[in-house]
Parts: sequence; C-alpha cells; structure tokens
Amino acid sequence: MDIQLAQIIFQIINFGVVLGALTYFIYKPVLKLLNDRRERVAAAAAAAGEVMQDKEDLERLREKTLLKASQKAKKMENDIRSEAQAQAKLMLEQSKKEIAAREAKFSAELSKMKKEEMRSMEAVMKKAALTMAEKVIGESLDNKKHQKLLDEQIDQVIKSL
Amino acid sequence: MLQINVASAVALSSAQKNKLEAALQKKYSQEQVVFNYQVKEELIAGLSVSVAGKLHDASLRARLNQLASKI
Repeated sequence: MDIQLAQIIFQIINFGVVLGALTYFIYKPVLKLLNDRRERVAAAAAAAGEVMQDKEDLERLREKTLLKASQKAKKMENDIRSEAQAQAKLMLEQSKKEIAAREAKFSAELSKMKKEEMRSMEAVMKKAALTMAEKVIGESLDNKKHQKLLDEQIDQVIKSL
Repeated sequence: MLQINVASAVALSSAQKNKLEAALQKKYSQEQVVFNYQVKEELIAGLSVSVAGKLHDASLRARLNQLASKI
C-alpha cells in the first residue's frame, strides 16, 4: 500500500475548508445566538431583581407605615384614655365637693332646726314654769302676807337709796 | 319737781306710804317731791319704786323675770 502525499494534502485542505465553512456558517451564529440569549436572560434576571427589590422596598414601606399607624393609634388611644381618666377624676372630685357641700348645708340646717326647736321648747317650758309659779304664789298670798312682804320691801328700798 | 312712782300688787297702807315718803323726802330734801301710787296686779306681789328714771323693782314679777332669764 502506497501513501500518496498529494492525496493527504488534498484531504487536509478539504478538511480545513469544511472546518472553516462550518465555523463561519454554524459555530459563530450559534455562539452569537447563545450569547444573545444569555444577555437576555441576564437582563431579565436583573429586571426581576429590580422588581424584587422594589417589592421588598414596598414591603418595608408598608411595614413602616403600618408600624407608624399602629403607634399613632396607640398614642391616640392612650391620650383619649388619659383624658377620659382626667375627666372622670375631675367629675368625681366635683361630685365629692358637691356632696360635701350638701352634707354641710344639711348639717347646718339640721343644727339650726335643733337650736330653734330647743329655743322653742325652752320658751314653752319657761312660760309654763312661770305661769305655774305665778299661779301657786298668787293663790298662796293673802292680804296679810302681801302687807308683810310690802313692809319688808319698803325697808329694802329705803336701804338701797 | 321730782316725781316718784310707786307701783304695788296691792294697795299700800297709810303707814307704809308714810314710811316710804318720809325716807324719800329725806333723801331728796333739796327738791319738791310728788308721789304717784298705782296698783298693778301683774306685779303678783311686792312693789317697784321709780325715782328720776331709776327703777327699784322688788316685785315678785321682776324676780320671776330674773329667774326666767337665768333659766
């Protein structure tokens, strides 16, 4: 078997031509296609990342807003509660004062009524005692006793002059 | 002229009037004295003598009034 050099060279050239044609017409377009696809995927991933970032930002903003609203609501609740407690305390104090004033007034009126009643009773008793005394003495004095009493009293008047 | 008012529960006897008048005329010898006598049953007993606005009340009514004010 003879090795034909020309044939080998022809085959090498032929292979080179086929390789060049394949490289030019298939490998490079496919490579370009793959690169383009990779870039599109990367761009889509970047866009998705941005969307995710936006979503996270929005979520944080929502949480922050909710927290702020919750704190504000809590503060309002505390303020309202404090104000209600203060008003209740004020009303309680006013009621206590009013009750104390009414009690004092009632006590004063009662005391006054008691005093008036006592005075009235004293006057009645005094009048009754005097009436009884007058009656008893008037009935027990006869003319002789009157004259004797007058003699004594004339002496007293003369001494006191 | 000095007026002396004498009030008594019963009328004074002449002796009693004389005794009283003698004592009072002696006391007020500088003045002309006039006596007015009245019977006031409300005095109950005793007499009261009023001389120049000054009252010497020895009646039982006055004593009862004193007692009433003390009560």
